[in-house]
Amino acid sequence: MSTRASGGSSLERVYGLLLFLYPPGFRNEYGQELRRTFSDWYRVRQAGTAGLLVFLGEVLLDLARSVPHQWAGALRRYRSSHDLLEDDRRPPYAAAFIAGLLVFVLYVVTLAPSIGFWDSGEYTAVAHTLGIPHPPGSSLFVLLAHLWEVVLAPTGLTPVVSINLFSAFLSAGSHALWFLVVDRVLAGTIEDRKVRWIGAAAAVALSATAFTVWNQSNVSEKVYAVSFFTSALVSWLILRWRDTGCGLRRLVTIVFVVALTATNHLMGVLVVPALAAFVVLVDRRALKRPTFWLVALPVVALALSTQLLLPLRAAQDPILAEGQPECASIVGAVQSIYTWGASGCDALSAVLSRDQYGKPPLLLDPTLYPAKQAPRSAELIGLQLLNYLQYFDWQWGRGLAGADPLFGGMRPALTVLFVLLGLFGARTNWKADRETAIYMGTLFLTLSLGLVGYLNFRYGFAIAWDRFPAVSMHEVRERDYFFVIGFSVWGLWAGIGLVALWSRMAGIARAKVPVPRLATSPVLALAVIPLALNWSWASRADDFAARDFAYNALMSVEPYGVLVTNGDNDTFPLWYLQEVEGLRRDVTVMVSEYLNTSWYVKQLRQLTEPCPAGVDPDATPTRIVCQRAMKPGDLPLPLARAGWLQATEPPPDSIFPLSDEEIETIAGSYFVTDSPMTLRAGDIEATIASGTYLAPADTFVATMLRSTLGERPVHFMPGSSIVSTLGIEDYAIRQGLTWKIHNGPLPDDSEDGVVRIENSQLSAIAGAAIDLPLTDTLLWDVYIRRGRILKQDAPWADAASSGIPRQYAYAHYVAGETHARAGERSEMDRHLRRAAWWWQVAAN
Amino acid sequence: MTRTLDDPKALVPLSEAVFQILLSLADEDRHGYGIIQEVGERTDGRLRLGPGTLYGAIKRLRGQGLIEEVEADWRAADDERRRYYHLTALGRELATLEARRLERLLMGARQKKLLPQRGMA
Repeated sequence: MSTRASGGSSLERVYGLLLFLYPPGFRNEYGQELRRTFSDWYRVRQAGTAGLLVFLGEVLLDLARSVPHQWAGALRRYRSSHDLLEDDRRPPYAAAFIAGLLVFVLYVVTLAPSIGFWDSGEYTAVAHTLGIPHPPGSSLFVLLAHLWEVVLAPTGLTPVVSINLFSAFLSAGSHALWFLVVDRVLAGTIEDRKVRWIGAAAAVALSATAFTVWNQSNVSEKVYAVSFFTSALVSWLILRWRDTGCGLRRLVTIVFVVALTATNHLMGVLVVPALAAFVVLVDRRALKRPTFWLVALPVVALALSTQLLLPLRAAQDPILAEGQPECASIVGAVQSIYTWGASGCDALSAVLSRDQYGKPPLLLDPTLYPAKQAPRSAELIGLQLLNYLQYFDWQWGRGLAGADPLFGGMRPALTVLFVLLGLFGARTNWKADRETAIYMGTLFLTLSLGLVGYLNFRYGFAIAWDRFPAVSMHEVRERDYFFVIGFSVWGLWAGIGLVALWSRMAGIARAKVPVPRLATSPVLALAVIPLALNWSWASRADDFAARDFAYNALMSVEPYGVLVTNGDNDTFPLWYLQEVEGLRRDVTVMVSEYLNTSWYVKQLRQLTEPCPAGVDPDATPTRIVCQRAMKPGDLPLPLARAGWLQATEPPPDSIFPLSDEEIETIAGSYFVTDSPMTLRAGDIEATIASGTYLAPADTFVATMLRSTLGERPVHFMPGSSIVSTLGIEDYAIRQGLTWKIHNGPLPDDSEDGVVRIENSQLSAIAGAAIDLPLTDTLLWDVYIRRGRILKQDAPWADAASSGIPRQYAYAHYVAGETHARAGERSEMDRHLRRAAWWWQVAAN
Repeated sequence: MTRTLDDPKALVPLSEAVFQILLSLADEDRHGYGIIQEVGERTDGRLRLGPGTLYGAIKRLRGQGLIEEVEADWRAADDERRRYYHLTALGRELATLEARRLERLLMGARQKKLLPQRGMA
């Protein structure tokens, strides 16, 4: 034998990595010795290549023999150590997995096949393109959902289905964890393991089918599925922390998860009061140990670094980057992240601290803020609580008198039943295990009353209209989703209450006659009431309404057109269609809400820049490069026949020929006109009335019109206040679902089918005129109408978005009335029937 | 956790690797690589223990109370980081039991003239 020292270090490193094949216990105990022995062994190997090969063969043989052996031993030891415990004290992981799987199946069966309204289109688009959604940016959601979509890509599922499944998966996972939590809670009062499992299953069933929980789990409309999962995860981990001796490692893991979920949304951090109460009750010294803080603080820093995605990605000009949180330096970015927006890089700080929402202080009345700083009155607080109770009432039987959103029909009676069950569950929890009862109670209170106090909403979307008729004093939509985790927790308590009730009934019955426990089991059927009564309202199966609306709206816009939209529902679905399905990217969707910011205008400026020779924006479709080309294949045949294919050349200029300084100046400019102003754009001349309040959005749209009218078609979604502010109503021609601004005075009723609307009331929805042939083509031959809405008994579950079906109704109504003026009765009847149909869809 | 055996006979017969490890510690405390070396030399390289196999066996033998780890004491100056192993009384008893078993086997083979009698070439 000869001694060899050179070249060994790299092999030793490789061997060090191979040691990870061993079980951790063995590796920790003997890893150092193994490495040392390996080095010794290596030094005395035979010389030469042959010697080295023999040596490596022996090493591999040794690993092949010993690794399986060690794992077998580790598993044996694990099993025998657990066998030493009481069998029914082991967490029922398999049963929890099955419970989670069943919940997942339910969510898959009722899964949205495409996007929903509100934020669904936005989140799907940003997940797909690795973009940046509205503040607080939700970097963790974007990363995870994008990764999830990539992982599922080989399955052939569409991106939107994959991303909806992400929500379903997380929610189902949360319920698997809840199963473990409830089983553990019940362990303090029910000895029979199977009865505990029934209790845990009932709790999971009630939580998973509570209306908002269900309705938010079968689509990715919000990022709360991530918050929900982390909340359930840390709830389980903190119980394990207690049950396994209050070790440092598990506590630090919990800290990590909580810090990580903060990079998704602060909703997930709301478990902290419950965690703190629990830790103080169980082992308050845990928080006093310097070791804990020494380990926890770097772990928090590591988790929060996820937020670096925002400035890093923003610097790449993603196609969707709300707030454009770009930073000049990494130092500024880091400062923003670790001060949570209190200092550092302005753009990132604004996103992290959600500046754009201008949330009123907790003690002020949000219905009057910021115009008036009135205190938050008792009446307002009462109505905020009523709003919460309204949502609570939805959870257990939304389908009962569903059309009445406020305590309709027999629904309150059912709600009282579930309140009582939940209270009984809380009492059972208290008797079984006070520490977990305090944990669950704190969690529920934080996520119900605590949130009501913190969120400080305006009047609910469906309440107090008689006393407060101003639209601005109400929320724009129902906000039940904010309370989703709290409803879930109440469902758990109700399930615990139900199994306790069952046990008590069985006990009473058996005291009188010797009957098996099974005899009283029908009471458990209460656990499926929400499943039955919520199904039609919570299910999103076969719902294409939002996706098809996006298609129909975008197809209403002529090639290279600009479409000015009003808000979430007529914008986010369009983003989805363009950025995920890749349709009609030539259209510039311009949401007026964001036009009061400079970052958005700069993005649109770049997005509509003519492309330099040789630059193809489709080569990097997830980034803003320049004006994207119209693809003839995007246009359905009727529009191609209507001559839309003739406009195949992109416009020569950006819609915003402004410098950065000019954009910044306009973005900060709010003023009231002191005399009539004339807006000249293309061939139109409009008058902005004296005393008109002009926000930056109005000025930017006026700038856009001046620069681009005549070069690009300009459309508005009907009802846009900017149209009336700028005084251009007289140039608006209805074209399907949109108004198109005519470049010049309207022609007299002409052969090309543009018909003036004489009825002033009708013109409020119609515009000044209607392009009747084109509107007919769009409404009958281009627009898609399919799926759930075709069933007349399917409820339109979200009243706040019912304006969308009404848009169709208006379009048909205007077209019908115009045909009527021409004496075309059959066409009139056809349109009016369809208008009535859409109206019914909205009213369902 | 170390759990000693009530009856070492329950472990007989031993695998060759285990027996050789016990033998190598019978006259001297050794570290892991020392065991590999000693076994290799004594068996003329026929039995080459790899690190994984060796420490897997050591872990098991320690768990059974047959060997134990000892302080490095005077060897520290030579190699302070190595862990040395010592044959316990129980381990010695077991090794002896196994040796006797092998001896009986050997005697049987001699009686049957499969092997030459002791002292004969």
